[in-house]
Amino acid sequence: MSRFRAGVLALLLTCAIGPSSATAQESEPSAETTATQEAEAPTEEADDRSALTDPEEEALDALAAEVASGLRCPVCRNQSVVESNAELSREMQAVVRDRLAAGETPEEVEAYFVSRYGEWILLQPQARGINLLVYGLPALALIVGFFIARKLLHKWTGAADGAVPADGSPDLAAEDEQWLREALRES
Amino acid sequence: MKKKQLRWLLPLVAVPILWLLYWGMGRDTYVLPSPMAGLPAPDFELVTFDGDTLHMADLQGKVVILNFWASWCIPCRTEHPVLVQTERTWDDSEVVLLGVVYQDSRANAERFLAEFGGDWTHVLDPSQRTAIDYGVYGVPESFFIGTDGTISLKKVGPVTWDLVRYQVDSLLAAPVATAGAASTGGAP
Amino acid sequence: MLNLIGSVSIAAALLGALAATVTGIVGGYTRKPVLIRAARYSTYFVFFAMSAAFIAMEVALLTHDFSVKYVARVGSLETPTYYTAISLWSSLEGSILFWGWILAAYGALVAFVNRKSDSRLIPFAEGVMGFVGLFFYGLLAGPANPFGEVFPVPANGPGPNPLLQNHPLMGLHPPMLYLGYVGLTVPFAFAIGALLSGKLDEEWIRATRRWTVAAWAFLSVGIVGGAWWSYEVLGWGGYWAWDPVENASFLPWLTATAFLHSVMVQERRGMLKTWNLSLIIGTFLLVLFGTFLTRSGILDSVHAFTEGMIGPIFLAFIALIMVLSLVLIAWRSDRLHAPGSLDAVVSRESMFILNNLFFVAFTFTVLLGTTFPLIVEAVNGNRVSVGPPYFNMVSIPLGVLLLFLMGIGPALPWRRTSPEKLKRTFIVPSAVGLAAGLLGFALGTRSVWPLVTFTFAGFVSATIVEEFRKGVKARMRIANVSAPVALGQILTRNNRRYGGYIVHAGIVVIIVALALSGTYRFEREVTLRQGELMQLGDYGVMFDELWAEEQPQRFVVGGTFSIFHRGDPAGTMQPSMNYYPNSQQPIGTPAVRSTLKEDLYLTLMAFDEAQGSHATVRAIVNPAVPWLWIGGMIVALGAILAVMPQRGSGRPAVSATVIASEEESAELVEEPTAVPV
Repeated sequence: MSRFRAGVLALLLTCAIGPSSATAQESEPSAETTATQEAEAPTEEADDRSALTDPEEEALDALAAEVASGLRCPVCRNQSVVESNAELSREMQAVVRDRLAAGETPEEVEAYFVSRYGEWILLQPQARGINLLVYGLPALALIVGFFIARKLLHKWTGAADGAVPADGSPDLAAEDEQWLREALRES
Repeated sequence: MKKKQLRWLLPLVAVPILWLLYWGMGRDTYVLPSPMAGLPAPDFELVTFDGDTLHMADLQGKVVILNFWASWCIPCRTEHPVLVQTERTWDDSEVVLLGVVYQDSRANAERFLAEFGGDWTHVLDPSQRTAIDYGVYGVPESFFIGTDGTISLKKVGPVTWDLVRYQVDSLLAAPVATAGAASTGGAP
Repeated sequence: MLNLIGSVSIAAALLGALAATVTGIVGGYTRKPVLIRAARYSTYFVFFAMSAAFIAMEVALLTHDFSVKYVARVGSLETPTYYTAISLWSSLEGSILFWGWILAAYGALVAFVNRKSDSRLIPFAEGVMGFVGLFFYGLLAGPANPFGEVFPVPANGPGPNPLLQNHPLMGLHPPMLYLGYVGLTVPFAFAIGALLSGKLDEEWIRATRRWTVAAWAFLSVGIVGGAWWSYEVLGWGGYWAWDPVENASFLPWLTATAFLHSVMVQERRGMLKTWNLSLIIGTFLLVLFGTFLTRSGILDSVHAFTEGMIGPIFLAFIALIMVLSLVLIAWRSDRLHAPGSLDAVVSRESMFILNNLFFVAFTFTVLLGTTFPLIVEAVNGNRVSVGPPYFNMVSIPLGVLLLFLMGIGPALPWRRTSPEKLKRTFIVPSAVGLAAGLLGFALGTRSVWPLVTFTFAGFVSATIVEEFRKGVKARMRIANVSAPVALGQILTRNNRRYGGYIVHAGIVVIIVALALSGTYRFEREVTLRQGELMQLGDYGVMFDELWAEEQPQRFVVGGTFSIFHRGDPAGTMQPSMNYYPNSQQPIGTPAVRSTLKEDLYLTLMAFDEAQGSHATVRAIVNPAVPWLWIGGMIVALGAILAVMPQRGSGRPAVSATVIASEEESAELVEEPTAVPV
């Protein structure tokens, strides 16, 4: 493992000379500290989540992942907690799992995160208040659009019930051929 | 007739969108309001560098500034002198400054404190559970908590001395905390 | 030196674009040959000037000339040459330069191809493209100038954004997207040209049909390529996150697709003139909107490059285009009125109208969802998020409806049909569709939407096969040739129609792959000790060792995992984490093992830094994902076929007296008369 250790040393050097950003707030530790931290972190996780888990645990994992997929990772841009491998997200997913294991419903878990982070944490807005617009307007647009289209189709087919307008469309000849073709095929 | 509706549809959809976008450019997408202002500060159980266990309830009756920070965080360095001054200005019996070390090791944090000073109490939050409980996005973030244990303000990003003085003075003056309407900013 | 060449070239392009705008529009009105020629040569000139700027920037990048502002921003001596060359589009100024160059190239190509045409539209279109160019070259000359001088000259730079130098697809996906985006300027320019000139018949549509199909194909490939890139780089095993910037590329795709269909109604029946103009103008506005989203940083997005002054300027340009277009449409409204008339509700025409309704509703929905956080914040100051759960919920039903129409529309004849014929057309496809749905059920699918998707996909596939069968049979009879020859002949003689069917087939493949991967994906995240094995479906994943490698521009830590498929050794996989000096977080490189059935996708999540004795890995089994890329390629193939010049074009327009046989005439009628490109 000496090759590995040397490599990681080089990594620390690389990161130490790297330019540091100076935003108002920082959301994630730099690679440098992540690595150090992991070195210090005990490895009980490895035993804790062994490769062999029983079905019940697996079901809990799946439910936790489902709930976490509806939560927004606070330190990423537009990723869900389940997708992000940021440290905070991993821990948030663990919180979700623990709360589910303690008997909370998925809704209660969501409510907990909303009470701490605000509604922003939910990737799908709650269907209440002004948020109803984001659900209602598309449906409304579709329905209104459908009725307009229906009205227009009726109007246009009505217009065609009489004689085909003599001044008609530019490719009337072609259309007539098409019609003839249909007629021939029918016979 | 479709045409007539169309003529109105485009401006009807487009003008509000343009206005929105114009408005939207003026704001900072990083600043997020906290829903916790005005609510009781969640309890925690954290271990100090000295090995003592500390609960939120232990601090009842005092004004508390809960400061999430880390040694790897550059803005925390800007903020640090303000915290040093805070510690110097008020007595521990009135105002408690409590540093919560976020995503960092004790060794790193102590090295930082040795370099920049600051001997107020610090606790470790290795599981980040307290950070999540307080809805922390990143560091630094500071919570101003009244004597009754109610959060009056959450400040995202480095605090300024004006903000700290104003917040602490008003919390000391009015024991029943007035829920901060604005959850960020707040300096007079 | 390069700073000077670049800045002068851009100034020259700006002047050229001004000249093209003035001479194009004045020449269009006065029909003075000297002005028309001047517009053409100005358009050529803009292209040469922009090419000079483009080449100057590439030379600056490749020679690491850090005195050039943009190079100092994105270049670094350690970045591999390939990524240095493509870092042109890794940051704001460079991407606008690239955009401007493509715009200039499209303009020159339009001018060159039509140099002998005496159509009234051409100078107008050149003028409009010049006008759009004014905006982009103006940005490059002013607020987004990539050629600014840096003094003192730095010895090295930070290199491009690590996410954008982590996968070779970065060399493909943005250019495709830009070619699509910018290509849509061509039909827009002709549409505005039609409005300006008052020549509002079908000419502008015919003249731009192939341009539009080509731009649409580039955009499609760009979108699929972007999905592929996300999949290979971002490490969460997904390909589409409904990120605002992804939506921004999807929105014009939706309206452009609607446009490609609805123009057929106008070509054939002279209807929907205002609608088609509005659709292409709306598409162009959405292109600008999408560019604005990525440049303004207004919405949270992983892809956006935020920059101060660009946003407001962009917004002003969008508003200007919108106002000018509306004024033009209002001004020409008397000439746009075309009495609509249809023979029957059950006809291909009305299917196109429904198709447009769904596409526009889809566009509206995605636009609403993308901007909704802003709306809420403007109204009551709350912050909400609208993410994948919302978009999936609303887009699946709309997508399924469109899939259904894709089966009905092409199989219905124009004008009218009879109930018996209807029955004959749809009985086999319906049976195939039902069979596909039942097969899905038998294989264990119990969710509603996937079952509906499989059913409709079967239905659509059967109608496509049926169309091909009919075409081949008719051709065999008329030309007396064998089936393969007949197939070749219908593909080349009626490439627009059959190319379109191939595109449809590609879309079906993509939709089915989306349904399968969305429904059957499963994953596990486990920390493994060295030599430890975990099971995931048919796969076994064993952690062998960790390794580390120092590369000039980054430091890589990777894990080697042995893979077993149903117990048999199936090679190794090496997901890694890359540490870049200018990134706070490591950028992962997932490892993907693809088969036609499914992908095994490994991401290294964490590792034991001291000993290398354990690693946390996320393993995902992603069914059918390779079919997304295959479907994308089918779409591209179909589109290429559809834009090929028609063999034997220049064939005289059909007259009612020439009816060689029913099918032959049908085939001729299907194509509008020879297209002036």
